[in-house]
Amino acid sequence: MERNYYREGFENFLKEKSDEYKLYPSEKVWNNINQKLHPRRKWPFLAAALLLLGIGVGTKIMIDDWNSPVLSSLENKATPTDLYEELNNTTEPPASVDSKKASGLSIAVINDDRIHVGDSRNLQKAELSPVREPENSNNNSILQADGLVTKNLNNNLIVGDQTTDQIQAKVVPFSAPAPENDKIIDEKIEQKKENPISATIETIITGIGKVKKKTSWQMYMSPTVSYRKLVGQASKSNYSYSGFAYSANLGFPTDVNDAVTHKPSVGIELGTAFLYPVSKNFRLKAGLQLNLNNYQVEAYSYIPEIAPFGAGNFTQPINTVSYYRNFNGFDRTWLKNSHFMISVPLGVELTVIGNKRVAFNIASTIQPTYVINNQAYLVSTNLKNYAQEPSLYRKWNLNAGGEAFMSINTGSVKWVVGPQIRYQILSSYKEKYPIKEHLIDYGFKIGVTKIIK
Amino acid sequence: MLQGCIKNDASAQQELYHLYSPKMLSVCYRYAKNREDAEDMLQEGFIKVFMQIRQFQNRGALEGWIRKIMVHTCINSLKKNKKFSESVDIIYANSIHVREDAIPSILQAKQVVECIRMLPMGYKTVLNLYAIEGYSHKEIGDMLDIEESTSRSQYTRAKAMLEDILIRKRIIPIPKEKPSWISSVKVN
Repeated sequence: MERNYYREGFENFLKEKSDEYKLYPSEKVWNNINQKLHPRRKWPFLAAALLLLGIGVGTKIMIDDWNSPVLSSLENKATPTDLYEELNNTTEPPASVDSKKASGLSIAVINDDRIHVGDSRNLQKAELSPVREPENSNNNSILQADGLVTKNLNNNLIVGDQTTDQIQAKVVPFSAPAPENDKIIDEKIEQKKENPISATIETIITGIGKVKKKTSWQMYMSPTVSYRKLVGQASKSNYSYSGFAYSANLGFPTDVNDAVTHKPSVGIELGTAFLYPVSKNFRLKAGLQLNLNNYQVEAYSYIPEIAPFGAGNFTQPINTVSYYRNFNGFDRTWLKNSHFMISVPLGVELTVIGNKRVAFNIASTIQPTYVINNQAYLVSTNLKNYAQEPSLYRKWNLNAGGEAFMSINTGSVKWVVGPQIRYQILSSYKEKYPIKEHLIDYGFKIGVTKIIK
Repeated sequence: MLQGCIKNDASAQQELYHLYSPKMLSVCYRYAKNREDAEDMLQEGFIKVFMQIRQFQNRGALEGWIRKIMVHTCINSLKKNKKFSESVDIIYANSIHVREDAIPSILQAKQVVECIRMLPMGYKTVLNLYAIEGYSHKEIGDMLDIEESTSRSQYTRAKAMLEDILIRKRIIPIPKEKPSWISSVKVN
C-alpha cells in the first residue's frame, strides 16, 4: 500500500484503485437499455386505438349473435320498410320458428289500408278468430300461405298464431318503434288510399328517415395534460457544444431526449360535434374543436448567443439570437411552450355495450388541424440553446384522437364522460428542422348530447 | 461482438454490456450522488454507446471509448443540476467531517472510491477527471464551463482534502512533512 502510494504517485494510486473497483448493475438497467434499443411497439397509440376499436366491434358482433342466433340472416330487415317489403314479396311458405325464440319479436297485422308493426306479445287472443280463408283480397291479402293467415272480427288479417308452440308466421326481428311512430306511419298511409302499396312504401321510408336517423348535437370540454414526444439527433455539422473536436464530444447528448428536460402542463379542449346514426350502435361524427396545449422546458437565462436551427445546411443557415441556454446558464427557468389550435374531428362512435340509459362507447377521430398561435421555444440543433423561431412552425397539422366513454341518458339530454387521448401525427415544426415534436394530450371528456328534433 | 453491435444485434449488445458494465458502473458511481443515479447514468451511457458504435471504427481500445462516453454522460447529467454548477465554481470548499471509524483501515479499492465520493461535488468531479480519467485542466475547463485556472485550483484542494481523508482513515501513511492543509479536515 505504502509502496504503491509513494512509488507511483498519488494520481496513479487513485487510478489503480479506482479501476480495481467493480460494481454490478441491477437487471433493470439492461432491460431498460434493451427496450430502448429494440422497442416492441413502434405505433403504440395507433395499435391501442385499433385494439380498442377491434374489441368493441368484436364484442358487438358477439352480443348480437348471442341475442339472435336463428334469425341473424334477417338482421338487415329490421325496419318497418323492410318488413313491409319482405311481406309483400313473399311467395314461399313462411319460416317455421320456435315460439320461444320468436318470443318478443314482431309480427305484422295487415288489412286493406293499414300496416301495424308491433310486439307479438301485445296482441290479444280475443282478436283472433278461427282460421278462415281470406276473402278476395287483391290489395290486402299479401301473404299467400294457406292456413297460416288468420282474420279477426274487424276484418284484419293476422299473420301467425302466437297461441301455438310453433308460430307459423313471417317473423321479422326488429326494434319496436315507439307508438307515436306507428301513428305517423298510419296517418301518412291514410292520406294515400288511391295507391296504397306504393304510397305506403314511400310513407314508411319518409317516416323512418324522420324517426330513426336523428342527428345529435354534442358539446364537450376536456381538461388535458399535455406531453410531447421528441425524435431527433443533434446536427453533426452544427454540433459544437464544447471547443473539442467532434470525437471528443461523443459523450455529450446527441439524442435530443438526453439533452432536454421538460414537464407537462394543463391544457384544455373545447368542441362541438354532430353525430349521425348509421345504425343503432354506430354513429358518424364531425365537428369543430379548439385545443390549447401547454408544456414547459427547463432552461437557463444567459447572455445573447447565436443559436443554429438548420439541419446542418450551411448554404441556408437558420440562426437566431437566444437568451436561454439548455445547460449552464445563470438562472434556471421554465419556459412555457403553448400551442393554440382549431381542428375538425371526423370519425366514428361505437356503442359497445349498454342499454338506452347507460352505455359504454368508444370513438376515434382524425383531426385536420390549423395552428392559430404557437408560442414555443425550440432547442437549437446543437442542443445548446432555446429560442423562438416562427419560420419553423408548422401551420397545418393532423391529429388522431381516441376515447372511451360512458353515456348516461337523462331523458332530454345524454351526458358523456370518459378518458381520451390526442396524438399529433406530424411534427410541430417544418421538415428542415431536424428535431421532430409530436404533442400528446391526455384528457377527461365531459360532454352533453341532445337529439336535434 | 462489435460487428453484432453495429448490426444492432441484441445478443451482441448484451454481451458487450455484461463485459463492461461493472467497470463502467464504478466510473459512474464516482461521479453520482448515489447508486441509483449511477445506474441511470450507466443506462444513458450505454444507450449512447450502442447508438454511436458505428463511429468507433476500431480506433484505439473499445473500453477507453466506452469510458469516455460514460464520463461525458456523467458530466452532462451533473450539469443539469444547478447545485453542480455552483459547486464547481466554489474554489474554497468548507471543511468536511470525517468519522474515523467510518471506513475500515484495510486498504481496498472500494474504500478509496468511497473516500473520493466523500469530497464536495466540484472537488470530486475535477479530481475524477484529472487524476483518474487523465483529462488536462484545459479540457476539464471546457467540459465544465469553468476557467482552466479554476480547474487547477479545484484539483489542488481536492487532492489535499482526499489525502487528508485517506491519512485520517489510515489508508495511506502520514507523510514525513505534514502539509499545512491537513488541519482543515475535522475528525470526529
